[in-house]
Amino acid sequence: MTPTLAPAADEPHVAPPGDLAIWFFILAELLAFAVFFAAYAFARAKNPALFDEMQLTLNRDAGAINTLLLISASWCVARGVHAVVANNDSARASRWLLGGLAGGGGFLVVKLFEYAHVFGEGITLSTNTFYMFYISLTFFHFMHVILGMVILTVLWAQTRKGVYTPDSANGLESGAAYWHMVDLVWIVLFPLVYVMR
Amino acid sequence: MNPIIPARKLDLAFAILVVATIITWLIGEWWEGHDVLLPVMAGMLTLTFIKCRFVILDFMALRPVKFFWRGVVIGWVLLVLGLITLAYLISLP
Repeated sequence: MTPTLAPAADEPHVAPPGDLAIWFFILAELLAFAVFFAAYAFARAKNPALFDEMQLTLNRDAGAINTLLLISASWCVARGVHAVVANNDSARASRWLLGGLAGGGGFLVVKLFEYAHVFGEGITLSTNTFYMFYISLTFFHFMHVILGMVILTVLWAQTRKGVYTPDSANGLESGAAYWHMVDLVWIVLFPLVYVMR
Repeated sequence: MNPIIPARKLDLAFAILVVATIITWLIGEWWEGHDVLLPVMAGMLTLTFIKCRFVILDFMALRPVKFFWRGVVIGWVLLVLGLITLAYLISLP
């Protein structure tokens, strides 16, 4: 009898989906964001009045729309992975991934409008502590969204070629896990920066 | 064999995430005209935790994976939200 690494139906999987290496990368990224979030929260604790006042200058609607765009993109990517691993349907997966790209692209456009407004007001990193954190934290995340978009574009092109199958979907699952990490971080960032008072 | 989350669970997670995001946004709109209120903060953090949990378990497909991996990522959320709570409590007058 040939031994198998696949778990029985009622047993949990030993490893997460995708390459193990991407999960160590994701954990390192999460750690970096955790430091950023904690630094923001404790800097705010020193001067809550300034942070509350400056928060009012942000566009909360844009932050909420961006949250909806990222979770929609994440949902599309998750459905794209499902289309391959559950149904072996690459054509459908590529359409879902295109939806994910649209959501990510929408996020970047909204964020660029936000930055245009902020920088148009003459605000810079040295304006005050709040804006130092706002610009650096959101820009750090912005760069992750751009990298995520590059990854999604590659995954989309690969699914169009039918590269991934249920037995060979590591690359797709790894890229999807990275994208969900970007979404996860924004889900914490939005209430922390735009809502908490 | 890949961990598979049923499509209907993914759709349900998405619907809950949309509703939770709209509630978070409404909390922000309301909070702007009110003084610091700890129950509001607690509610917002709870919603954030619920949203993170759905992304981790369903979108990241960690629900059917060994507890270690779920524990590490959910532990990250708890750590971050815990530090935010601590800083918030320190900031109170």
